[in-house]
Amino acid sequence: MTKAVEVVDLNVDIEKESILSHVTFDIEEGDFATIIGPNGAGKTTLLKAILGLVPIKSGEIRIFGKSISDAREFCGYVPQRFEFDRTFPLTVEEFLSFSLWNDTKGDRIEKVLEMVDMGGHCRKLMGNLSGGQLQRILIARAMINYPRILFMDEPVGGIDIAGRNAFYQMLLSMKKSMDITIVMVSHEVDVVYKFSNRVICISRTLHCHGHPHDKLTPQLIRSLYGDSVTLFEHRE
Amino acid sequence: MLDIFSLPFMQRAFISGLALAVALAFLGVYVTLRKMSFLGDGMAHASLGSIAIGIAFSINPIIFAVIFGVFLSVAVYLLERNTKLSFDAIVGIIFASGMAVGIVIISKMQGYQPELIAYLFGSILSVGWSDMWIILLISAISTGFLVLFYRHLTLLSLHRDIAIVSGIRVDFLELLFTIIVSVSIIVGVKLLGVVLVSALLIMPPSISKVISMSFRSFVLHSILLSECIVTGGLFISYYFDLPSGATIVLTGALLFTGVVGVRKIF
Repeated sequence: MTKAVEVVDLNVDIEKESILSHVTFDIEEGDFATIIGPNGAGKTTLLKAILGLVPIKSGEIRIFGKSISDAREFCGYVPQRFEFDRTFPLTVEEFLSFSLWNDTKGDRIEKVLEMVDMGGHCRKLMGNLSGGQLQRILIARAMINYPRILFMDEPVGGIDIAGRNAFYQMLLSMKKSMDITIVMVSHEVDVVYKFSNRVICISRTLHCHGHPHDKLTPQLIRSLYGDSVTLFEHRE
Repeated sequence: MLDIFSLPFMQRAFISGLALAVALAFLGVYVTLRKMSFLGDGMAHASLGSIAIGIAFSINPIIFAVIFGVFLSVAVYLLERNTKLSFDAIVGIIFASGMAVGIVIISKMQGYQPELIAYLFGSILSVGWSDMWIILLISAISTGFLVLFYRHLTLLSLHRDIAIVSGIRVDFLELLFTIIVSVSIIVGVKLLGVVLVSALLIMPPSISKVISMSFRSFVLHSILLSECIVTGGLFISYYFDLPSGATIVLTGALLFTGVVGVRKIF
Protein backbone atom coordinates (compact mmCIF):
# COMPACT_ATOMS: atom_id res chain seq x y z
CA MET A 1 0.00 0.00 0.00
CA THR A 2 1.22 3.53 -0.81
CA LYS A 3 1.63 5.84 2.15
CA ALA A 4 -0.59 8.88 1.67
CA VAL A 5 0.75 10.68 4.76
CA GLU A 6 3.85 9.93 6.81
CA VAL A 7 4.53 11.92 9.98
CA VAL A 8 7.79 11.12 11.77
CA ASP A 9 8.72 12.51 15.19
CA LEU A 10 6.82 15.76 14.64
CA ASN A 11 7.30 18.58 17.14
CA VAL A 12 5.42 21.87 16.88
CA ASP A 13 5.82 24.85 19.20
CA ILE A 14 3.64 27.95 19.05
CA GLU A 15 5.01 30.99 20.88
CA LYS A 16 7.46 28.76 22.77
CA GLU A 17 4.69 26.46 24.01
CA SER A 18 4.88 22.84 22.91
CA ILE A 19 1.65 21.99 21.06
CA LEU A 20 2.69 18.66 19.57
CA SER A 21 5.59 16.49 20.67
CA HIS A 22 7.09 13.36 19.14
CA VAL A 23 4.07 12.54 16.96
CA THR A 24 4.63 9.64 14.56
CA PHE A 25 1.98 7.91 12.43
CA ASP A 26 1.09 7.16 8.85
CA ILE A 27 -2.05 7.03 6.73
CA GLU A 28 -2.37 4.71 3.76
CA GLU A 29 -3.80 5.62 0.40
CA GLY A 30 -7.58 5.08 0.36
CA ASP A 31 -7.97 5.46 4.13
CA PHE A 32 -10.71 7.49 5.78
CA ALA A 33 -8.62 8.72 8.71
CA THR A 34 -9.99 10.77 11.58
CA ILE A 35 -7.88 12.78 13.98
CA ILE A 36 -9.61 12.97 17.36
CA GLY A 37 -8.78 14.43 20.74
CA PRO A 38 -10.14 16.82 23.38
CA ASN A 39 -10.28 20.59 22.95
CA GLY A 40 -6.80 22.09 22.81
CA ALA A 41 -5.23 18.72 22.00
CA GLY A 42 -3.50 20.05 18.90
CA LYS A 43 -5.74 18.41 16.26
CA THR A 44 -6.03 21.49 14.08
CA THR A 45 -2.34 22.27 14.58
CA LEU A 46 -1.47 18.75 13.42
CA LEU A 47 -3.57 19.15 10.28
CA LYS A 48 -2.09 22.58 9.61
CA ALA A 49 1.43 21.26 10.16
CA ILE A 50 0.82 18.49 7.61
CA LEU A 51 -0.41 21.13 5.14
CA GLY A 52 2.51 23.48 5.81
CA LEU A 53 0.27 26.15 7.36
CA VAL A 54 2.17 26.30 10.66
CA PRO A 55 5.96 26.01 11.00
CA ILE A 56 7.25 22.81 12.58
CA LYS A 57 10.05 22.72 15.15
CA SER A 58 11.39 19.35 14.02
CA GLY A 59 10.32 16.13 12.39
CA GLU A 60 9.40 15.00 8.93
CA ILE A 61 6.11 15.12 6.99
CA ARG A 62 5.62 13.48 3.60
CA ILE A 63 2.51 13.39 1.43
CA PHE A 64 2.67 10.62 -1.15
CA GLY A 65 6.42 10.56 -0.50
CA LYS A 66 6.87 14.27 -1.19
CA SER A 67 7.26 17.39 0.92
CA ILE A 68 4.09 19.50 1.15
CA SER A 69 5.48 22.18 -1.17
CA ASP A 70 5.85 19.52 -3.88
CA ALA A 71 2.58 17.76 -3.04
CA ARG A 72 0.09 20.66 -3.20
CA GLU A 73 -1.39 19.38 -6.46
CA PHE A 74 -2.47 16.21 -4.62
CA CYS A 75 -4.20 18.06 -1.77
CA GLY A 76 -7.68 19.45 -1.23
CA TYR A 77 -8.43 21.36 1.97
CA VAL A 78 -11.63 22.27 3.82
CA PRO A 79 -10.91 24.66 6.71
CA GLN A 80 -12.61 24.62 10.11
CA ARG A 81 -14.07 28.08 9.65
CA PHE A 82 -14.82 30.04 6.52
CA GLU A 83 -15.82 33.45 7.71
CA PHE A 84 -16.27 35.97 4.95
CA ASP A 85 -18.20 39.12 4.25
CA ARG A 86 -21.59 37.64 3.28
CA THR A 87 -22.51 40.85 1.48
CA PHE A 88 -19.61 40.31 -0.94
CA PRO A 89 -21.23 39.58 -4.33
CA LEU A 90 -19.58 36.30 -5.34
CA THR A 91 -21.39 33.46 -7.08
CA VAL A 92 -20.72 29.80 -6.35
CA GLU A 93 -19.43 29.36 -9.90
CA GLU A 94 -16.97 32.25 -9.53
CA PHE A 95 -15.76 30.98 -6.17
CA LEU A 96 -15.08 27.54 -7.61
CA SER A 97 -13.50 28.87 -10.79
CA PHE A 98 -10.95 30.88 -8.78
CA SER A 99 -9.57 27.59 -7.45
CA LEU A 100 -9.22 25.91 -10.84
CA TRP A 101 -5.59 25.62 -11.86
CA ASN A 102 -6.30 26.47 -15.46
CA ASP A 103 -8.96 28.53 -17.13
CA THR A 104 -10.50 25.67 -19.11
CA LYS A 105 -13.50 25.16 -16.87
CA GLY A 106 -15.42 22.79 -19.12
CA ASP A 107 -18.11 21.11 -17.07
CA ARG A 108 -15.79 20.56 -14.09
CA ILE A 109 -17.68 23.01 -11.87
CA GLU A 110 -21.07 21.42 -12.53
CA LYS A 111 -19.57 17.96 -11.98
CA VAL A 112 -18.13 18.76 -8.54
CA LEU A 113 -21.36 20.51 -7.57
CA GLU A 114 -23.34 17.40 -8.46
CA MET A 115 -20.84 15.31 -6.50
CA VAL A 116 -21.76 17.25 -3.35
CA ASP A 117 -25.49 17.29 -4.18
CA MET A 118 -25.44 20.99 -5.06
CA GLY A 119 -26.09 20.75 -8.78
CA GLY A 120 -27.85 23.81 -10.21
CA HIS A 121 -26.43 26.18 -7.59
CA CYS A 122 -23.84 27.80 -9.91
CA ARG A 123 -25.50 31.22 -10.01
CA LYS A 124 -26.35 31.37 -6.31
CA LEU A 125 -24.54 33.96 -4.21
CA MET A 126 -22.10 32.56 -1.64
CA GLY A 127 -23.56 34.90 0.97
CA ASN A 128 -27.04 33.37 0.57
CA LEU A 129 -25.97 29.78 1.31
CA SER A 130 -26.92 28.00 4.53
CA GLY A 131 -24.20 26.55 6.79
CA GLY A 132 -24.65 23.07 5.35
CA GLN A 133 -24.69 24.31 1.75
CA LEU A 134 -21.56 26.39 2.33
CA GLN A 135 -19.79 23.35 3.73
CA ARG A 136 -20.69 21.33 0.62
CA ILE A 137 -19.42 24.13 -1.60
CA LEU A 138 -16.15 24.17 0.35
CA ILE A 139 -15.79 20.44 -0.33
CA ALA A 140 -16.63 20.98 -3.99
CA ARG A 141 -13.92 23.66 -4.08
CA ALA A 142 -11.42 21.33 -2.44
CA MET A 143 -12.28 18.63 -5.02
CA ILE A 144 -12.20 20.91 -8.07
CA ASN A 145 -8.72 19.86 -9.17
CA TYR A 146 -9.43 16.17 -8.42
CA PRO A 147 -6.97 15.80 -5.52
CA ARG A 148 -5.70 12.42 -4.29
CA ILE A 149 -6.18 13.39 -0.66
CA LEU A 150 -8.78 15.57 1.04
CA PHE A 151 -7.98 17.25 4.37
CA MET A 152 -10.94 18.52 6.41
CA ASP A 153 -10.93 20.34 9.74
CA GLU A 154 -14.18 19.70 11.65
CA PRO A 155 -16.26 20.06 8.49
CA VAL A 156 -19.67 19.69 10.18
CA GLY A 157 -19.23 22.53 12.68
CA GLY A 158 -22.24 24.56 11.54
CA ILE A 159 -24.53 21.69 10.53
CA ASP A 160 -27.41 20.13 12.55
CA ILE A 161 -27.54 16.40 13.43
CA ALA A 162 -29.77 15.39 10.49
CA GLY A 163 -27.57 17.34 8.14
CA ARG A 164 -24.45 15.72 9.57
CA ASN A 165 -25.52 12.20 8.68
CA ALA A 166 -26.40 13.26 5.14
CA PHE A 167 -23.06 15.05 4.95
CA TYR A 168 -21.06 11.98 5.96
CA GLN A 169 -23.04 9.76 3.58
CA MET A 170 -22.27 12.20 0.78
CA LEU A 171 -18.59 12.11 1.81
CA LEU A 172 -18.49 8.30 1.74
CA SER A 173 -20.14 8.15 -1.67
CA MET A 174 -17.70 10.78 -2.99
CA LYS A 175 -14.76 8.88 -1.54
CA LYS A 176 -15.93 5.72 -3.27
CA SER A 177 -16.53 7.34 -6.65
CA MET A 178 -13.34 9.43 -6.61
CA ASP A 179 -11.12 6.87 -4.88
CA ILE A 180 -9.53 9.46 -2.61
CA THR A 181 -7.92 9.43 0.82
CA ILE A 182 -9.70 11.47 3.48
CA VAL A 183 -8.04 12.95 6.57
CA MET A 184 -10.52 14.65 8.88
CA VAL A 185 -10.27 16.38 12.24
CA SER A 186 -13.30 15.69 14.42
CA HIS A 187 -14.32 15.72 18.05
CA GLU A 188 -17.18 13.25 17.44
CA VAL A 189 -16.00 9.81 18.52
CA ASP A 190 -19.14 8.14 17.08
CA VAL A 191 -18.22 9.45 13.63
CA VAL A 192 -14.93 7.60 13.83
CA TYR A 193 -16.72 4.30 14.52
CA LYS A 194 -19.25 4.80 11.76
CA PHE A 195 -17.18 6.13 8.91
CA SER A 196 -13.42 5.84 9.48
CA ASN A 197 -11.09 2.93 9.04
CA ARG A 198 -8.20 4.69 10.76
CA VAL A 199 -8.08 6.85 13.88
CA ILE A 200 -5.31 9.08 15.16
CA CYS A 201 -5.79 10.05 18.82
CA ILE A 202 -3.97 13.18 19.84
CA SER A 203 -3.59 15.05 23.07
CA ARG A 204 -0.44 17.06 22.53
CA THR A 205 1.22 13.73 21.84
CA LEU A 206 0.06 10.62 20.02
CA HIS A 207 -2.15 8.35 22.16
CA CYS A 208 -3.01 5.80 19.50
CA HIS A 209 -3.34 5.20 15.80
CA GLY A 210 -4.86 2.30 13.94
CA HIS A 211 -8.30 0.81 13.30
CA PRO A 212 -10.96 2.49 15.50
CA HIS A 213 -12.48 -0.80 16.70
CA ASP A 214 -9.07 -1.98 17.89
CA LYS A 215 -7.76 1.24 19.31
CA LEU A 216 -10.70 3.16 20.78
CA THR A 217 -10.97 1.30 24.06
CA PRO A 218 -12.78 2.68 27.13
CA GLN A 219 -9.37 3.11 28.79
CA LEU A 220 -8.09 5.18 25.88
CA ILE A 221 -11.23 7.35 25.85
CA ARG A 222 -10.79 8.00 29.57
CA SER A 223 -7.10 8.85 29.10
CA LEU A 224 -8.04 11.33 26.36
CA TYR A 225 -11.21 12.92 27.73
CA GLY A 226 -11.07 12.18 31.48
CA ASP A 227 -12.72 9.68 33.84
CA SER A 228 -16.23 11.14 33.43
CA VAL A 229 -16.40 10.06 29.77
CA THR A 230 -17.33 6.50 28.79
CA LEU A 231 -18.28 4.69 25.57
CA PHE A 232 -21.84 3.47 24.92
CA GLU A 233 -22.46 1.14 22.03
CA HIS A 234 -25.73 1.70 20.15
CA ARG A 235 -27.49 -1.49 19.10
CA GLU A 236 -29.03 -1.14 15.65
CA MET B 1 -20.18 72.13 -24.81
CA LEU B 2 -17.09 70.20 -25.93
CA ASP B 3 -14.75 73.21 -25.71
CA ILE B 4 -13.69 71.66 -22.41
CA PHE B 5 -11.71 69.04 -24.38
CA SER B 6 -9.82 71.61 -26.44
CA LEU B 7 -7.93 72.81 -23.40
CA PRO B 8 -4.65 70.90 -22.87
CA PHE B 9 -4.91 71.01 -19.07
CA MET B 10 -8.40 69.51 -19.26
CA GLN B 11 -7.18 66.81 -21.65
CA ARG B 12 -4.45 65.89 -19.18
CA ALA B 13 -6.95 66.01 -16.31
CA PHE B 14 -9.39 63.66 -18.10
CA ILE B 15 -6.71 61.21 -19.29
CA SER B 16 -5.05 61.03 -15.84
CA GLY B 17 -8.31 60.96 -13.91
CA LEU B 18 -9.96 58.28 -16.05
CA ALA B 19 -6.86 56.04 -16.08
CA LEU B 20 -6.37 56.24 -12.34
CA ALA B 21 -10.11 55.78 -11.75
CA VAL B 22 -9.90 52.31 -13.36
CA ALA B 23 -6.97 51.23 -11.20
CA LEU B 24 -8.35 52.64 -7.93
CA ALA B 25 -11.84 51.23 -8.49
CA PHE B 26 -10.44 47.74 -9.22
CA LEU B 27 -8.04 47.95 -6.25
CA GLY B 28 -10.90 49.24 -4.11
CA VAL B 29 -12.79 45.97 -4.64
CA TYR B 30 -10.01 44.15 -2.76
CA VAL B 31 -9.34 46.96 -0.30
CA THR B 32 -12.98 46.82 0.86
CA LEU B 33 -13.08 43.01 0.81
CA ARG B 34 -9.90 42.84 2.92
CA LYS B 35 -11.11 45.69 5.17
CA MET B 36 -7.96 47.68 4.40
CA SER B 37 -9.64 51.02 3.66
CA PHE B 38 -7.43 52.78 6.19
CA LEU B 39 -4.33 51.88 4.13
CA GLY B 40 -5.44 54.28 1.39
CA ASP B 41 -6.03 57.15 3.79
CA GLY B 42 -2.84 56.40 5.72
CA MET B 43 -0.56 56.25 2.69
CA ALA B 44 -2.06 59.40 1.19
CA HIS B 45 -1.46 61.38 4.38
CA ALA B 46 1.98 59.85 4.96
CA SER B 47 3.00 60.91 1.43
CA LEU B 48 2.75 64.58 2.42
CA GLY B 49 6.13 64.32 4.18
CA SER B 50 7.90 62.89 1.13
CA ILE B 51 6.16 65.38 -1.18
CA ALA B 52 7.41 68.24 1.01
CA ILE B 53 10.96 66.79 0.94
CA GLY B 54 10.72 66.46 -2.86
CA ILE B 55 9.67 70.10 -3.19
CA ALA B 56 12.38 71.25 -0.76
CA PHE B 57 15.12 69.48 -2.76
CA SER B 58 13.62 70.27 -6.17
CA ILE B 59 12.99 66.60 -6.99
CA ASN B 60 9.72 65.68 -8.76
CA PRO B 61 7.53 65.34 -5.63
CA ILE B 62 5.36 62.56 -7.06
CA ILE B 63 8.32 60.41 -8.15
CA PHE B 64 9.96 60.92 -4.74
CA ALA B 65 6.67 60.12 -2.94
CA VAL B 66 6.19 56.97 -5.03
CA ILE B 67 9.68 55.67 -4.19
CA PHE B 68 9.14 56.56 -0.52
CA GLY B 69 5.70 54.92 -0.68
CA VAL B 70 7.28 51.61 -1.75
CA PHE B 71 9.55 51.73 1.32
CA LEU B 72 6.61 52.58 3.58
CA SER B 73 4.57 49.69 2.15
CA VAL B 74 7.40 47.25 2.84
CA ALA B 75 7.69 48.72 6.36
CA VAL B 76 3.94 48.24 6.97
CA TYR B 77 4.13 44.67 5.65
CA LEU B 78 7.17 43.73 7.76
CA LEU B 79 5.89 45.41 10.93
CA GLU B 80 2.54 43.64 10.64
CA ARG B 81 4.25 40.25 10.39
CA ASN B 82 7.01 40.76 12.92
CA THR B 83 5.28 42.66 15.72
CA LYS B 84 2.06 42.21 17.64
CA LEU B 85 0.77 45.55 16.37
CA SER B 86 -2.46 45.60 14.38
CA PHE B 87 -2.54 46.71 10.75
CA ASP B 88 -4.55 49.82 11.67
CA ALA B 89 -2.10 50.80 14.42
CA ILE B 90 0.90 50.50 12.08
CA VAL B 91 -0.78 52.50 9.31
CA GLY B 92 -1.93 55.03 11.92
CA ILE B 93 1.65 55.59 13.12
CA ILE B 94 2.97 55.99 9.56
CA PHE B 95 -0.02 58.22 8.66
CA ALA B 96 0.63 60.65 11.54
CA SER B 97 4.44 60.61 11.24
CA GLY B 98 4.46 61.32 7.49
CA MET B 99 1.90 64.09 7.90
CA ALA B 100 3.93 65.60 10.76
CA VAL B 101 7.11 65.64 8.63
CA GLY B 102 5.15 67.45 5.91
CA ILE B 103 3.80 70.07 8.32
CA VAL B 104 7.25 70.75 9.83
CA ILE B 105 8.80 71.20 6.39
CA ILE B 106 5.91 73.42 5.20
CA SER B 107 6.42 75.67 8.22
CA LYS B 108 10.07 76.22 7.25
CA MET B 109 9.56 76.73 3.50
CA GLN B 110 8.69 80.31 2.71
CA GLY B 111 6.80 80.68 -0.57
CA TYR B 112 6.16 76.98 -1.16
CA GLN B 113 2.98 76.72 0.88
CA PRO B 114 0.58 77.14 -2.10
CA GLU B 115 2.22 74.20 -3.90
CA LEU B 116 1.92 72.04 -0.80
CA ILE B 117 -1.65 73.14 -0.21
CA ALA B 118 -2.39 71.97 -3.78
CA TYR B 119 -1.19 68.49 -2.76
CA LEU B 120 -3.32 68.65 0.36
CA PHE B 121 -6.59 69.23 -1.52
CA GLY B 122 -5.60 68.14 -5.02
CA SER B 123 -5.16 70.03 -8.24
CA ILE B 124 -6.17 67.90 -11.17
CA LEU B 125 -6.09 70.89 -13.47
CA SER B 126 -2.40 71.51 -12.77
CA VAL B 127 -1.33 68.01 -13.81
CA GLY B 128 1.66 68.43 -16.14
CA TRP B 129 2.68 66.11 -18.96
CA SER B 130 5.28 64.33 -16.81
CA ASP B 131 2.71 63.85 -14.01
CA MET B 132 0.26 62.48 -16.54
CA TRP B 133 2.75 59.89 -17.85
CA ILE B 134 3.61 58.79 -14.29
CA ILE B 135 -0.10 58.39 -13.49
CA LEU B 136 -0.68 56.45 -16.73
CA LEU B 137 2.28 54.15 -16.02
CA ILE B 138 1.25 53.42 -12.43
CA SER B 139 -2.39 52.92 -13.45
CA ALA B 140 -1.35 50.48 -16.19
CA ILE B 141 0.90 48.53 -13.78
CA SER B 142 -1.85 48.37 -11.12
CA THR B 143 -4.57 47.31 -13.56
CA GLY B 144 -2.24 44.79 -15.21
CA PHE B 145 -1.37 43.31 -11.81
CA LEU B 146 -5.05 42.92 -10.96
CA VAL B 147 -5.96 41.38 -14.32
CA LEU B 148 -3.13 38.85 -13.89
CA PHE B 149 -3.75 37.98 -10.27
CA TYR B 150 -7.45 38.64 -9.61
CA ARG B 151 -8.27 34.95 -9.07
CA HIS B 152 -5.41 34.43 -6.62
CA LEU B 153 -6.08 37.74 -4.90
CA THR B 154 -9.77 36.93 -4.42
CA LEU B 155 -9.01 33.51 -2.98
CA LEU B 156 -6.35 35.03 -0.72
CA SER B 157 -8.77 37.73 0.43
CA LEU B 158 -11.44 35.13 1.24
CA HIS B 159 -9.24 32.62 3.08
CA ARG B 160 -5.47 32.79 3.49
CA ASP B 161 -4.99 29.11 4.39
CA ILE B 162 -7.00 27.91 1.39
CA ALA B 163 -4.83 30.14 -0.80
CA ILE B 164 -1.64 28.66 0.67
CA VAL B 165 -2.80 25.06 0.19
CA SER B 166 -3.78 25.99 -3.37
CA GLY B 167 -0.12 26.82 -3.98
CA ILE B 168 -0.50 30.61 -4.09
CA ARG B 169 2.59 32.55 -2.94
CA VAL B 170 0.60 34.55 -0.44
CA ASP B 171 3.44 36.54 1.16
CA PHE B 172 4.66 37.79 -2.20
CA LEU B 173 1.12 38.59 -3.35
CA GLU B 174 0.24 40.47 -0.15
CA LEU B 175 3.43 42.53 -0.31
CA LEU B 176 2.87 43.35 -3.96
CA PHE B 177 -0.76 44.29 -3.28
CA THR B 178 0.22 46.62 -0.41
CA ILE B 179 2.85 48.32 -2.58
CA ILE B 180 0.48 48.72 -5.54
CA VAL B 181 -2.36 50.17 -3.42
CA SER B 182 0.07 52.62 -1.78
CA VAL B 183 1.70 53.74 -5.01
CA SER B 184 -1.64 54.14 -6.82
CA ILE B 185 -2.98 56.23 -3.97
CA ILE B 186 0.16 58.38 -3.90
CA VAL B 187 -0.01 59.26 -7.61
CA GLY B 188 -3.65 60.10 -7.02
CA VAL B 189 -2.63 62.72 -4.46
CA LYS B 190 -1.75 65.08 -7.31
CA LEU B 191 -5.30 64.73 -8.66
CA LEU B 192 -7.50 64.69 -5.59
CA GLY B 193 -5.19 65.63 -2.74
CA VAL B 194 -4.05 63.89 0.42
CA VAL B 195 -7.38 64.44 2.10
CA LEU B 196 -9.70 63.25 -0.67
CA VAL B 197 -7.87 60.69 -2.79
CA SER B 198 -8.94 57.57 -0.88
CA ALA B 199 -12.55 58.39 -1.85
CA LEU B 200 -11.87 56.97 -5.33
CA LEU B 201 -10.69 53.77 -3.69
CA ILE B 202 -13.74 53.36 -1.45
CA MET B 203 -16.75 55.01 -3.10
CA PRO B 204 -17.01 53.10 -6.42
CA PRO B 205 -16.83 49.59 -4.90
CA SER B 206 -19.15 50.64 -2.08
CA ILE B 207 -21.79 51.78 -4.56
CA SER B 208 -21.14 48.81 -6.84
CA LYS B 209 -21.59 46.32 -3.99
CA VAL B 210 -25.16 47.52 -3.51
CA ILE B 211 -26.16 46.82 -7.12
CA SER B 212 -24.01 43.79 -8.11
CA MET B 213 -25.04 40.14 -8.19
CA SER B 214 -21.68 38.60 -9.06
CA PHE B 215 -17.97 39.33 -8.62
CA ARG B 216 -17.61 40.07 -12.33
CA SER B 217 -20.39 42.68 -12.23
CA PHE B 218 -19.00 44.02 -8.94
CA VAL B 219 -15.67 44.83 -10.63
CA LEU B 220 -17.20 46.14 -13.86
CA HIS B 221 -19.78 48.32 -12.07
CA SER B 222 -17.10 49.63 -9.78
CA ILE B 223 -14.89 50.71 -12.70
CA LEU B 224 -17.83 52.16 -14.63
CA LEU B 225 -19.04 54.12 -11.61
CA SER B 226 -15.54 55.40 -10.97
CA GLU B 227 -15.30 56.68 -14.56
CA CYS B 228 -18.70 58.37 -14.20
CA ILE B 229 -17.68 60.00 -10.92
CA VAL B 230 -14.45 61.43 -12.39
CA THR B 231 -16.09 62.55 -15.66
CA GLY B 232 -19.11 64.05 -13.92
CA GLY B 233 -16.97 65.74 -11.30
CA LEU B 234 -14.65 67.30 -13.87
CA PHE B 235 -17.53 68.59 -15.98
CA ILE B 236 -19.30 70.11 -12.97
CA SER B 237 -16.10 71.65 -11.60
CA TYR B 238 -15.29 73.18 -15.02
CA TYR B 239 -18.71 74.66 -15.76
CA PHE B 240 -19.47 75.80 -12.21
CA ASP B 241 -15.90 76.89 -11.46
CA LEU B 242 -15.54 74.63 -8.42
CA PRO B 243 -12.44 72.91 -7.01
CA SER B 244 -12.02 69.75 -9.10
CA GLY B 245 -10.95 67.28 -6.37
CA ALA B 246 -13.74 68.19 -3.99
CA THR B 247 -16.30 68.23 -6.81
CA ILE B 248 -15.29 64.71 -7.93
CA VAL B 249 -15.67 63.43 -4.37
CA LEU B 250 -19.04 65.18 -3.96
CA THR B 251 -20.23 63.64 -7.25
CA GLY B 252 -19.33 60.24 -5.81
CA ALA B 253 -21.12 61.03 -2.54
CA LEU B 254 -24.22 62.10 -4.46
CA LEU B 255 -24.17 58.90 -6.53
CA PHE B 256 -23.69 56.81 -3.40
CA THR B 257 -26.63 58.50 -1.66
CA GLY B 258 -28.82 58.12 -4.74
CA VAL B 259 -28.02 54.44 -5.36
CA VAL B 260 -28.31 53.42 -1.71
CA GLY B 261 -31.53 55.43 -1.39
CA VAL B 262 -33.09 53.88 -4.51
CA ARG B 263 -32.11 50.35 -3.39
CA LYS B 264 -33.66 50.98 0.01
CA ILE B 265 -36.93 52.12 -1.55
CA PHE B 266 -37.12 49.32 -4.17
